[in-house]
Amino acid sequence: MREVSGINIIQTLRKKWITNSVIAIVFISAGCAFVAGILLYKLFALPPWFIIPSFIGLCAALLFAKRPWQITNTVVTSFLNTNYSELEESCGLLLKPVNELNLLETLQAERTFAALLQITSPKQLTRPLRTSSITLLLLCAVGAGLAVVPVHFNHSSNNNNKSVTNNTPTEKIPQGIQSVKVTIVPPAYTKHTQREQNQFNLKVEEGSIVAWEVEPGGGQKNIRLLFNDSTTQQLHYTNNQSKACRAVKTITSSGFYQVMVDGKLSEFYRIEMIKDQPPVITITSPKPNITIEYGEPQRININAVVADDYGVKAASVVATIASGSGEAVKFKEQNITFATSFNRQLEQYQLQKMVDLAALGMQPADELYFYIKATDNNNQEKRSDMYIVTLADTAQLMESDVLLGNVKLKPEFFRSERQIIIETEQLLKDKDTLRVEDFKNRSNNLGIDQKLLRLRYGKFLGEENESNEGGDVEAGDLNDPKNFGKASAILDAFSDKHDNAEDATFFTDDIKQQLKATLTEMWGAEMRLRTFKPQDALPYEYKALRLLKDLQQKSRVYVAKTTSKTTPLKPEKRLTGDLSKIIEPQTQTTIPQVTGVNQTVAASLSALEELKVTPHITVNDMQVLQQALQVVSNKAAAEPAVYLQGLQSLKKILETLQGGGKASLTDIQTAESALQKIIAAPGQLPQKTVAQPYNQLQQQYFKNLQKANN
Amino acid sequence: MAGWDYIVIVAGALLLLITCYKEHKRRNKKNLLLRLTATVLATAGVTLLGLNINYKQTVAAENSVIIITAGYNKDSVQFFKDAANKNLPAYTFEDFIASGKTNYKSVHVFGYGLSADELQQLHNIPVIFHPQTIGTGITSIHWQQALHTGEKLRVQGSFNNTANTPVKIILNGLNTMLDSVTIGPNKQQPFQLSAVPKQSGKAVYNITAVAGDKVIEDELLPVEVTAADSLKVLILAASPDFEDNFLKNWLSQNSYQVVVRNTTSKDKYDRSFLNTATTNIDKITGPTLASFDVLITDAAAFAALSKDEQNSIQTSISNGLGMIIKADTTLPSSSFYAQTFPVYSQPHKVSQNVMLQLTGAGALHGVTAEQLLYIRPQPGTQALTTDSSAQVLVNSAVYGSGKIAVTTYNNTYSWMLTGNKDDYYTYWSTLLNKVAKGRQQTDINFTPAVPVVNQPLHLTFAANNNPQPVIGESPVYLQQGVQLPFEWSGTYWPVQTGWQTIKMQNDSANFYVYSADDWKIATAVSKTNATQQYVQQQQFSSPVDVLQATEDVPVNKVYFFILLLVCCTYLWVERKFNG
Repeated sequence: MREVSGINIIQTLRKKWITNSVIAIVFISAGCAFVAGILLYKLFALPPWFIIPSFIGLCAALLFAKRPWQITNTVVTSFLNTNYSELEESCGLLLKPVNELNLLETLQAERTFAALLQITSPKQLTRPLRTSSITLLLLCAVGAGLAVVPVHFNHSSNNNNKSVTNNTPTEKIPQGIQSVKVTIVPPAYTKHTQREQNQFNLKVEEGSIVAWEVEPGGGQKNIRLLFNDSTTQQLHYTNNQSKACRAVKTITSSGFYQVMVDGKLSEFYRIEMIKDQPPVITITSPKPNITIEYGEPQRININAVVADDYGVKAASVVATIASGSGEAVKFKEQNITFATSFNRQLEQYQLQKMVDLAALGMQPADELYFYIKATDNNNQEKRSDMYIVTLADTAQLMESDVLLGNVKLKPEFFRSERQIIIETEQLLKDKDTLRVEDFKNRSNNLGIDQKLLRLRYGKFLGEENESNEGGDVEAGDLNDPKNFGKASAILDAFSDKHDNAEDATFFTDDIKQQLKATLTEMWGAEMRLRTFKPQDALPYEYKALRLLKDLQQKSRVYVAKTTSKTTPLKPEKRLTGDLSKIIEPQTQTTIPQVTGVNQTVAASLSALEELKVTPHITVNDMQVLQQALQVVSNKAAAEPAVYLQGLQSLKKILETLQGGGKASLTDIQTAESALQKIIAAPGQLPQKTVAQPYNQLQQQYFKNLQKANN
Repeated sequence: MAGWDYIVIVAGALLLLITCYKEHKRRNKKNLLLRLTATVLATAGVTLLGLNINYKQTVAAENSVIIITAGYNKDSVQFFKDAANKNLPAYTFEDFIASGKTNYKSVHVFGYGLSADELQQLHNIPVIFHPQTIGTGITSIHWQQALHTGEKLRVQGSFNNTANTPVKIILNGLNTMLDSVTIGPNKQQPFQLSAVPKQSGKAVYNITAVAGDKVIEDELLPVEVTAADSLKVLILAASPDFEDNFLKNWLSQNSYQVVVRNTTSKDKYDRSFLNTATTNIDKITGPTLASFDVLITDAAAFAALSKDEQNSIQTSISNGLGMIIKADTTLPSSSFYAQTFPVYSQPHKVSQNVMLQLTGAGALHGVTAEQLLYIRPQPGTQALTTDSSAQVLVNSAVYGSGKIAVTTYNNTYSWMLTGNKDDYYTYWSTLLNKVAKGRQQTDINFTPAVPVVNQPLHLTFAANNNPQPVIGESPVYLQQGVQLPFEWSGTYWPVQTGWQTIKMQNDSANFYVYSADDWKIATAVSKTNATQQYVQQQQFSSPVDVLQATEDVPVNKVYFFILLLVCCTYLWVERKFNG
């Protein structure tokens, strides 16, 4: 009796465990299937009943993975043993038949049974049930949330696709034609392969060869292609028995065409031509206009990107060196190639070239003009803008203006910068023969000179005198008995004199700007001289000198020498005020009005509006529509994708009207939208405002108003 | 009926004569007076029996009635009936009028209400209005139906969005979307859409309100574009300049008649006549100016004119001529317009980017110019152009029946040079339109502004003589205004939708007739307003006369019969005793 119940308890537990696991699996898969179903509905617009198969699938997968039926009594006992110490690892004894137990085992089995009775429902067995139910609730909440959110990703995109296809209606194959095969052979430069299509509407590269192979079906028929430039192409049969006929044409411009089968015209088909674009050159460095100062490395780094729609065949730099000045300017042209190979004719090349200016034979004051020339694989050439590189001329700067000795306009301190440069260059020459201390000393002294010069120029800008900085009171002046009680002396000593207003207003703004720039260069030079790097200081000194020279030039005015010959005065006529000989011109012009495209199209628009209501049309409106057809036809030849449909509709409307019928609303609308694209909105014009006819009352009113105002 | 009455009366009179004669001839003259009286009464009784005699009687008004109009809510009507605890009759307005029974103490109107015309037919019956809330749609709308070439079509209105989704209002014309605006959810908001119509002539545009993919409202906007009325312009210049030259070229290229007189020396002129025959313009007189619509001149040229010439210009302006004066310095104080347009200079201003605001046309592209002169606004003037700091550059004033504009901005040709041609066109169009002499034209006013088929359309014409309008084939007969003799009014019942033409004596005009289904919400709003106004007005007027309605009650003929019987009995009895 006891043993049976022991096994029974274990079996009950096993059953409970299996049930719990199965329920947990069902819960989890139900939740997952719900969320998945909603996602499928939202993303792929699948019907909601998709939840059921996904539930079944998930359930089966989880069951197969977990295999709850494989939980045996042994598994249960080992679970009990590991989790409940009071069973003393002896749960297994309860599974054995009683008669197989020895004495000790019997005793232990009884103890275990007693302990087992205490254990009613282990929490571990119910845990999956709880977790799964919580998961189910959460997933349901997520699913409900997704269902509420108004997102229809796929629906909207589906709609878009539909509308797009609506805009480009599927073409109709003309009556009497069974099938068509259009073979397009793009020109070699495009690197595109030959392709075939079963449609008459064409989109081809410039210069493509198009071959139509039309199978009329039901015997040979006379088929011709009518192009918009009024050329026709007969389709030929290879022999009397052949089913299909052929025609070949090279496409060189956009347009449209019709197919004529035994004298019957089809609708219009468009020919869109993709034009070959010339290469695009983008130069990232150098800047369009640069000056290389003395001392800077005499080379430029050219970085450029050359791109083309099909392939770049070649690119090179064309450089021109201009040397000399005045009338003795000499030009020398050179072609500089890039290191990159263009054999593969890629669509885009990143080009880089270091040009050594000295190697090109450039001297100071010479200028280098260059541009990049690129050729695409259709032999279309493109040039970039012109770039200019100037080597600064130091020689001219160093020229003394002694020759212009008689014009003593320049203050003496303008020479100092040049002096500093000469001494710096001398110092560099002597560097090898000098001791290090001497070199440093001389360099430092030059720096001091540079500082003094800078301070002198600083005065022009109203900068503070450095001696005033720091706020040290110079007591010396105050101690002088002469200055006793002199207020100005005390003020001088203790006040901080800032920018002197008088000094600051000497120059115009742009001169001040340039002076400031000069001072900055001088600062740079001074720093390098004081840190014993005279070689580095040179470019700064040169730049400062150049800027100073420019300043000098600015304050000068040149007046060219000219000779003039005035007509001799007639003293008897002077100051008489006689105007009798002066004629009064009078002109009368009538500017003829031309009815342009705009008027025709504008009139045709209102004629079409009229047609929406009434099937009748006036002769005048009919003429206007005929003219509009001509305009649209010209437009359609250039841009078939935009205007061809409108042309077709307008043609249909005219044909219907001539036949005495009523034009369809869709045709009118299509024609209208094409026509209104052709013209821009007219500009505003002045006009008379509409006023009520004059009457006594108004006149009285205005009269009184005028009285009141005056 | 009247014929029968006469027959009876005549027959009665004959009977009276015969019977009286018979009585008179009787030998026995006893009781003659009494007998004659009885005979007269008896004949009268017989006659009255044959006549229908009514008498007026004040009738006690019945309690109330319900009129249901468009947009009414069935449940609220039923709820009201239940609450009133009476079985009140409910009619539509047409049925109510057709029933002919209009004496009620009050009328309960449910729905959007009645139009002013319909309310008039209620004859002051007090109305209790139970308005329905206005649904989603366009509640009011205005646009110019007649435009000139190049003029911008501006559609203004307000939209009531009661839904929780935004609504997009789209202006469509010629099968193309021209403009659109979005109204947020639960908002009543004004909107404006604009486009320049491309067609010349009549066209019907659409205004569509779309929420998501659903079209809420789709209404028609008829628009007619006519060619601009050409102007004749006279330019008097003290010296040739770019301004005049560009203006002259632009106007003449558009077939406007332009006459330019440039001073080359003292009393020496350079004259050019564009698109017009040569005339003598050496001396400016009233008749010379009469043929022009606008005079453009500068302060110096005006000052150089003789006193007589200045006076004739002044007179011409007060008679309708427009004048534009370009001021490059302060105006000479002697000129008649100087006081209205005081010009002041603002020194210390170097070249700057002048941003102009054109009244009614918005901002124009900036032009770098040295703008030194401004006009101080005066009472009675209207600024046409201001800069970004609201200083006036172009000002205008009414002078008599003409207009004067003064401009200190003399750099408009820069727009042409910089390629902002539209700014130039807009600027000069605004200025010229403002001052140009108006074209006198019969002015027509439509009430309601949106004519509806099979509903009365009141037309008011402003004209000195009866314009004798004919719409389609049917003439409209007009009544001259009593107070304003130049106002002519009449009513027309449109019988078909679409464009209709009014042919007048010297003029013609087009208007568009809508079907009753168009502009539902806007109509509802106007009806609600009209009904509410009616309700407000009746609070001040006493409804007494309504309550004392009278009714014709036929007199009961038994009385006449009794009279006849009594008289005949007397005559019979008298004969028995005295005969």
